[in-house]
Amino acid sequence: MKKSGFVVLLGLLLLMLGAWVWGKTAVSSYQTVTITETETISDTYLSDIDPDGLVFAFGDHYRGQYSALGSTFSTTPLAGVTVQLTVLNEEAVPHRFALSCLLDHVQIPCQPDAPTPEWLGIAANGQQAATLQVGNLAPGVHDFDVLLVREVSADPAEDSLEREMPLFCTTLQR
Amino acid sequence: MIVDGDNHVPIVTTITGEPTHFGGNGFQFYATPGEQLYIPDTTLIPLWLEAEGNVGEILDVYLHFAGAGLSDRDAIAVMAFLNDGQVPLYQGSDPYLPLYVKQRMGRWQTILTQLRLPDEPGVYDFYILVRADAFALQQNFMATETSSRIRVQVR
Repeated sequence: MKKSGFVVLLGLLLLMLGAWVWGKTAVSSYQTVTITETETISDTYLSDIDPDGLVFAFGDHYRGQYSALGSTFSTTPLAGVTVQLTVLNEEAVPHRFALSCLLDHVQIPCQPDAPTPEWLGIAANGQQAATLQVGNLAPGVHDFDVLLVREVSADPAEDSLEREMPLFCTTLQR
Repeated sequence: MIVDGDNHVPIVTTITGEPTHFGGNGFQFYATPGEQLYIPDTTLIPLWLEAEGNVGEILDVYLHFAGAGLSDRDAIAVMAFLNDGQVPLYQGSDPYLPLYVKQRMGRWQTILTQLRLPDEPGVYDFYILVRADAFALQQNFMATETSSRIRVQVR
């Protein structure tokens, strides 16, 4: 298996939602980010999908962006945060991923009553969607991060390579 | 709680601020089992892949940060995970979940923390996630780094 396959299958998604309570409502949108072999995420959405790796996609982001790259958004405490996450496994073998949500740097269930972490099993060349819901936000600014970690392989050789690679991608631009 | 890398003493309890704009990602992070970041007489940084200890034991974890290109006004959020569940890092007997570390521009800082090993023997997957911009508002840039995945054998 190519080295790039190991690199791109370990990913971190970061999504910062600034909850400035100005009465904004969620709007539908869709963007795709691609993790490349060099562990950066392309600036061009919906293009350049790495044929050998893992692809993340976010939907439903929020009106009222406060940063040029769209990493800060507004919502209301009642509306909270709802994000549609799609993960594509473009390898020829199935994988499991631990999905975690972090609110203000503390791990929380990605949905009410969901386990922590939540496991996503994705077939070879398949995809899996997940809805992330965070409610009861106090007024103010919050960090909301999404963490996706591939399960360590049972194959000792593959396991070793995975561990030598950085665990996550380091940048998300939305 | 913000912990200063120089003397391990909490020095700031809250941070509020205006929008922060970073000029580029100069942030780096490594976790090592010893205080030294580099292999002696080299500029090589070893990968930490394995650790072991007895149940309930304390495992020293050194965190190394380079804050180039970021703001001294911000803090680094340090989140530790054991088998994909978040766990506190300790300084002495005090648990921090998360641990916040004061940002220092243009220099390395090293902080000693501890991981408390589980009470059940087994093999655990340990890793650390850090965000360099824990309290920045409206930023256009997010700096995130991680440790390697460390296989911890608990006897």
